[in-house]
Amino acid sequence: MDESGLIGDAQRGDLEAFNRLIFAYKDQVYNLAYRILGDPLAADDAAQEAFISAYKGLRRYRGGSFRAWILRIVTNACYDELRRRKRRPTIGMEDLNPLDDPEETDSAGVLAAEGGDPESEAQQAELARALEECLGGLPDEFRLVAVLVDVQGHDYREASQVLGTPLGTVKSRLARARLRMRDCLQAHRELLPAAFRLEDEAT
Amino acid sequence: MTRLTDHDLEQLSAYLDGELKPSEAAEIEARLKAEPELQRSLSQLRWMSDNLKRLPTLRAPRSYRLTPEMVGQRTGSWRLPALRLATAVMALALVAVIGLDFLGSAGRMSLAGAPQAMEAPASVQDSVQSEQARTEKTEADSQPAAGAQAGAVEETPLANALRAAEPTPGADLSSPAETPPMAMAVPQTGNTEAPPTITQTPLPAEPVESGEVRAARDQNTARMAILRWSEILLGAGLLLLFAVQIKNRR
Repeated sequence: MDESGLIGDAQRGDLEAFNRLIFAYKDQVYNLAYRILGDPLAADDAAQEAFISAYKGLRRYRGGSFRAWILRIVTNACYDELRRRKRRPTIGMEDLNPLDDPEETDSAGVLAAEGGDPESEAQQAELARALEECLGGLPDEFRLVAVLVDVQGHDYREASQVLGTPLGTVKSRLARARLRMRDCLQAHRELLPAAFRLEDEAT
Repeated sequence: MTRLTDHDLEQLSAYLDGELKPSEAAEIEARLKAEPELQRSLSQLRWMSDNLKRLPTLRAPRSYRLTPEMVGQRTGSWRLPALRLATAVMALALVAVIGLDFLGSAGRMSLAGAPQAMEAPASVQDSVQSEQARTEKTEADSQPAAGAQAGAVEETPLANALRAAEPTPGADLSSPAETPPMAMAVPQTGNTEAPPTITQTPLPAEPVESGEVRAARDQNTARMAILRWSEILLGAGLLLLFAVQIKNRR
């Protein structure tokens, strides 16, 4: 895919070129929205809104990582949704995670899970739910940076572009997010490796 | 057991991601060799990060394919400007036609003195043929161009007959002839050459104008009909164009 060529065509009003970019990034955009919002329907809306906003604001794209640019747009759409929720608090993040329910995991359209624990798929699924739960319990700004770096594998530079924050902020927020995650996972000791259990024994 | 500081954890976290400067990384590596607590923390962070990366990736539930309507583009981009242009042209044409119609009406109204004058004798005839009526008729007759044209539509055989029967004291050039009403309908061009000795001579212009009057009346009626039909058609066309545009806007 000639990304820069497609971007140029889209900037000149070629909607079909932009649709090809959407096709390339739709899963990343949707997953980021889902991890931030924890709700597949809200993530779906945020993704659609982000792509529309991105097309309309394409003239403001001045080069650099297009992925970071479009992820920033969906992040902003998610922040707007989170702010709306805070004004009308009706649903908690924990209530919205379909991956907590094995039956809903199938309907959520899960792509192939990378790697996976060869010992037991059931144990891996349980661990995934524990991680999802702890991730969902993080404050928004910590969850977002953990999702970008730990879940989606972006480097700090790209994460700072997506978040619009300095590299140092990404670094410190990520460390705090990881610390909180580690504390949260203590509630699932049976799923943790020896390194975690040793700490329990030591304390 | 030594507790790690926030700074230690921050450096360790960045070290895990390969985001430390070489000097900082070397410092952490030196400490890792000496501090089992730091080693265990690094193992925990690495385990968490690895497992978070293994979290299931969801498939986007739809394509998010954008359509021109979704981003405010019009599919038939030429249609709307064309409709707007047609509406503007039609509105201007309607205004022009109404203006012509209005000017025509105003013109008739400004010359309306003549029709009133022509009608006056007819009304007077029912009562008394007053002096005033004769004066008015004379004034009307003294304006042959205006009177003939403007009064053409209003002129009736009865009024003509009355005028013909009525002697005009003020008119010293000619005297009204005792012409029957039928005579008014026939052009009598020869009458204008009647010798002055004949006292009852028809008005010189009157019989000549009668044909022109009819032609002018027909022309005027045709013009009015064209204007009215134009107004109706343009109005209907405008309404149709508005309806189409409103429908396009949904």
